[in-house]
Amino acid sequence: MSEWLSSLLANPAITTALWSAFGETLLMVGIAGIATVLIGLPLGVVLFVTQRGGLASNRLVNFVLGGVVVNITRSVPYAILMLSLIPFTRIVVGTSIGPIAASVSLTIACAPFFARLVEASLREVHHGKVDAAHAMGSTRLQTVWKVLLPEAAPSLVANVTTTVVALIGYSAMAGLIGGGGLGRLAYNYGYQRFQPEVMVVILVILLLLVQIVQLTGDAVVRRIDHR
Amino acid sequence: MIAVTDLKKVYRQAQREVRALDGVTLTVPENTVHGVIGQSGAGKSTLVRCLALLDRPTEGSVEINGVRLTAVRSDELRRARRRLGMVFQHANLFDARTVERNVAYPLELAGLARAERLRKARDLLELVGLADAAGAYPAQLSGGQRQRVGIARALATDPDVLLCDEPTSALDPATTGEILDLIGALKVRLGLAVLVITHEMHVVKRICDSVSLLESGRIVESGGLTEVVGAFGSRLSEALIGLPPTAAPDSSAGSTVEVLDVAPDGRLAAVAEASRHFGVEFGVVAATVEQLGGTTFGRWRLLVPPPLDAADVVAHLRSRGVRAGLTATVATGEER
Repeated sequence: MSEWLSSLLANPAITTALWSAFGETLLMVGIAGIATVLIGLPLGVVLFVTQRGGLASNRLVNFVLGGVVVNITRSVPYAILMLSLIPFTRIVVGTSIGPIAASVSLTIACAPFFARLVEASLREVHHGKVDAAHAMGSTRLQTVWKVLLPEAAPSLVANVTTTVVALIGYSAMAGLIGGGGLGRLAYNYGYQRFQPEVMVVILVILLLLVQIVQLTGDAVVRRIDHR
Repeated sequence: MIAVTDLKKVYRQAQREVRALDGVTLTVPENTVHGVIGQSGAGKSTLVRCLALLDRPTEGSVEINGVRLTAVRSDELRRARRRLGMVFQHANLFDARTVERNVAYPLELAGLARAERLRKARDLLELVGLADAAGAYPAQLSGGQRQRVGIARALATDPDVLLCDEPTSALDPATTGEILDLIGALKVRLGLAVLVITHEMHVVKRICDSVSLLESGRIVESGGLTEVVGAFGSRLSEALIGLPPTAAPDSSAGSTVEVLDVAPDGRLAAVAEASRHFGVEFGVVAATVEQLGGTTFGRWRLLVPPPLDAADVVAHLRSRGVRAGLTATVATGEER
């Protein structure tokens, strides 16, 4: 046992590569997470308000964004999406290698997913509250900003958590085509060099990471949920 | 004052026109509670939504103190809406805001400074008896308390008109009484024109000064509370102080007559007087006595024993100014 441990601790995959890989994963998930919320939240709001009978019902906008953009992006498996986005990624960040490049495809994969979750969160807000906001003379923007989003906040935060956890999963896949991070490390050492102990360590780290994200998200939800 | 003139709302539903409102006209002066009562499907919800301009009426106008809400553009409409406070069945408070921030919401829209709107919110909470709940969240309150907050919020912009949509239908009887009394007290204190839409007769009895009966999108009966209750055989009178149906008496036992005695002084003497006049004792099949708007109403179904003719009893009562009729004819509203 101690021999196994000492050989593990002497393994360069653990001593040097692990921490930089962990940092790359955090960077990918961090950038893509923020970008996903920045894009997905407004997109979800637009999908919600332009739906039939919505605050700003608009069939064309709803169809183009929801029926075309979101649904098409969501029907392409991530492994294929990230490969097909390589040229686009080069245009946006100048390279297709590294965690920043991986963030592009991660964002494009996750933002529509998050937008659908946002739409569902907003739909949960009781319609009477929207009526009340209107009856008191709110503009549509005020209704969204002061009523819909705050009322949906606990559910939105829970959905951010779900999205970040999904991002962590996707980020491992992005690692395989040059994104780096823990996914890449697990593939290079754990799979190609037959070092299952490296695989185990990475699994444990990912497990802890997901747990921390989930517990933090749950704690925030509890704190802001006054329902 | 709120004046509704010939309000119509037509929905198009699968190539079929649904006339949800078919020309509703009513006026509620200040310092008055007017009840609009109707069964579900009568058009109550549509009326509320059109009055609050949540839905655009197809035709007709809604005026508050001479300002036509139906004519103004959307930005003016938002300002005009501040003259109309709305109370919802389920209060519709914002769960993410504390009680005082709920009440302050309309003031936030009006652009009042934070300190000022919170001060006003506290004043309003005091007015509805919830001063110590200012920092609580709606979920921590009971249904009755939530409705009080809803009323405070509706009053935040000093409206002239309070529109209440089934304000007590989700509350228990004791809380219902409290909320209705609060609305009644606020009417007097603030000189409000209050329009209460409800399906509950006891709401009308408890606070309404006048009442309209809505049916298939039309107002079929309307008037002051004592006036409509005193209209013998009218639908509203039957609904408000009606007697339950009873089995027709055996023909050998006699026949029954319906009597409505209205006594502003609280003394219902007509039946005793008729009994003395004819020298017979009437059997009471069903009866109810209610005090509404300071007037006492007595409603009897009397058994007239043979050989006395029920028609003679009716004629006598009518000659004394009492509303009476034979049982069968009253139920259909033909005999007044």
